[in-house]
Amino acid sequence: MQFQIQKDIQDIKNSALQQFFPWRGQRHLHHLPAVAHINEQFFWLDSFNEHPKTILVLQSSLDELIVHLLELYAWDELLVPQDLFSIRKLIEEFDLEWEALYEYFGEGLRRLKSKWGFILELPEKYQNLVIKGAIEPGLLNYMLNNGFRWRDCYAEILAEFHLSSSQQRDMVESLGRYLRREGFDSETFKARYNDVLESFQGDRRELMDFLHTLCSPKLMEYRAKREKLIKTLQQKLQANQIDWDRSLESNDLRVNWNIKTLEDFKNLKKVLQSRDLDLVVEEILEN
Amino acid sequence: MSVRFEHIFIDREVSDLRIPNNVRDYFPKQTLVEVDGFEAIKKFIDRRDSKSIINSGKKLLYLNNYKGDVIKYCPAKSPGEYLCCDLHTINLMSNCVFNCAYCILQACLTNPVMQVHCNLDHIFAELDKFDNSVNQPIRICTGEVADSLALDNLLNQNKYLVKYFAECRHLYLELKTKSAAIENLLDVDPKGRTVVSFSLNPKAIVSKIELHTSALTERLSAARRLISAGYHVAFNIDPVLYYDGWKRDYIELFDTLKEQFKPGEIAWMHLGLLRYIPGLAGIARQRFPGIKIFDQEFVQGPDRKYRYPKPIRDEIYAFLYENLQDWDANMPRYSCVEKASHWKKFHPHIPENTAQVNKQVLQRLD
Repeated sequence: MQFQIQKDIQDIKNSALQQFFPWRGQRHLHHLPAVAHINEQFFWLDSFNEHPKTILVLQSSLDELIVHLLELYAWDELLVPQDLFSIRKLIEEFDLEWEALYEYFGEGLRRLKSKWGFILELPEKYQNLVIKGAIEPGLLNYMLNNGFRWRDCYAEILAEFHLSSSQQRDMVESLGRYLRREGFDSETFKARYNDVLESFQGDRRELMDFLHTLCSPKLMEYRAKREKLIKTLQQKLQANQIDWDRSLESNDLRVNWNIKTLEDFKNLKKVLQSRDLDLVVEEILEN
Repeated sequence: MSVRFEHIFIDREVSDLRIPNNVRDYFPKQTLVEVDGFEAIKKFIDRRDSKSIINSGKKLLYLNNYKGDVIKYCPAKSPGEYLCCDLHTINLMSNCVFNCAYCILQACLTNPVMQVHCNLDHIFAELDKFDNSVNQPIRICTGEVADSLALDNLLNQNKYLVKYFAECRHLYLELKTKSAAIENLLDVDPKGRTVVSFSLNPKAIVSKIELHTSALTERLSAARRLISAGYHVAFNIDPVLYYDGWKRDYIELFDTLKEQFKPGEIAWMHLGLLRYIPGLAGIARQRFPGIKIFDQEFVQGPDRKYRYPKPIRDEIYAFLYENLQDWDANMPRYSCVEKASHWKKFHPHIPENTAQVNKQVLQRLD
């Protein structure tokens, strides 16, 4: 079968790469083979590397050229959940069935769809967050397995604050607990705290402190008291640093001094003999 | 609660033993399927999701032999600084027909079929060896991965245990339960060596999240009848839950206990605050939509279990021990897996080791 593509294949590859895999960044093109889809069959258009990483699929029609990228290596173990969005787009535009793709490209896709297919059913707001990389698919899986509902206020926080993976989970855990405990919905939460959230101006640390206080007010209150005591102790001990357990489960203290001279050591011995130190240490260790 | 199973399987190895015969008598119209091993049963477990696995497992009864070490240390033991009560266990059953929202079994049984082990003679032989190898009192409990009495009406298993332990030198039997199925125990003389320990919680908690268990009033009435029949009775208030109005509910519970039991009648009181392993909250939220007990403040300890933060635990313990003190100041008491700092605050002295905790617990049995 013969056909023509009236466009530079490299241009097509470039634009397709930028369009389809924003979460993976720019990729090299030289191993990107192109495949055309004609009469429901696929045809390789250029040399097919033995271990190609990506293929470019063209629906070859001279008046309408549709390009899609499939990460071929991903059909096996390296597939990432976000790829499902690209694949779904391909399926819709080429009017294909998932089953046909499983058959053509192997079991990797079937496994991926089975495990992560739920992200295709999420509210659009969440799908967009996944595509933009503002939320880890793993967090969505965690939410699904832990009885967390999708909530607008999570989505808005994720969109406004660029949270790390662990912060994302921490946010959902802390805020979710608070909302369930109080029986709030997203609207109530937003009405009550929107101004506070805006005042953080994207500062992640302020956000997390605020959420921790909402979720665990007593723990945070006691932690603040302990922190004050630790600071006092640190000053009295003239220590570089004191490590302590912020969960308050353990009272253990690890004190770090920087001793450079014999004089430093003698000073430290004097400091340790001070009686008012004992009171502070006792207050920490006995509570 | 009337117990029903969708399928009952009997391993051919145990077909002629007495417990399967008791089950045949209890369900005369139900077909009991003989199988060779667990493989034949697996296909009956609905494995669509964790909720289905747990629910379907509770409808399958499998009678078999226990294979493995008979006597084990209590699985609630936590490594590190947490002091436990030195409880030992034998697994006569695995899984539970009750549905408590906080139950740890939801997160830790991979093949959650209701298994009942029928080779009591082998278990007694192992207990004989153990009894001869120790020189201090040991509590042996059957209710750690099951409820000791929940199925006793159909299994009629516990009376054999009570009779066996009545003749032991060092071993005491602890039947831990939320059931009032005590009829089979009443005509057996425990000779002071069986303690039935009832798990208690305020009636609001029992009715809302301890589904299918006996009501609080039924448990207390069963406790009274057992005392009259010569049994020791203990109480486990575990897990104590922290929520709006918790104090009011626990005061009511203590008031009920004070009304019904005189100082000196109860062998010991065990207090345990809600603690849970990672994964449990998610499963429970799916099985019990709207449940809020996992939405309080929690911290993860070095043993990876979640607990209320220490300031909250201290507040709860102070309140409970004060009430206990008002009721029976000398009642032996212990708290499950807490640290030495806890013992220092709330108990007369800090035990040096778990054996000392056990000795303290058993004071009223000697």
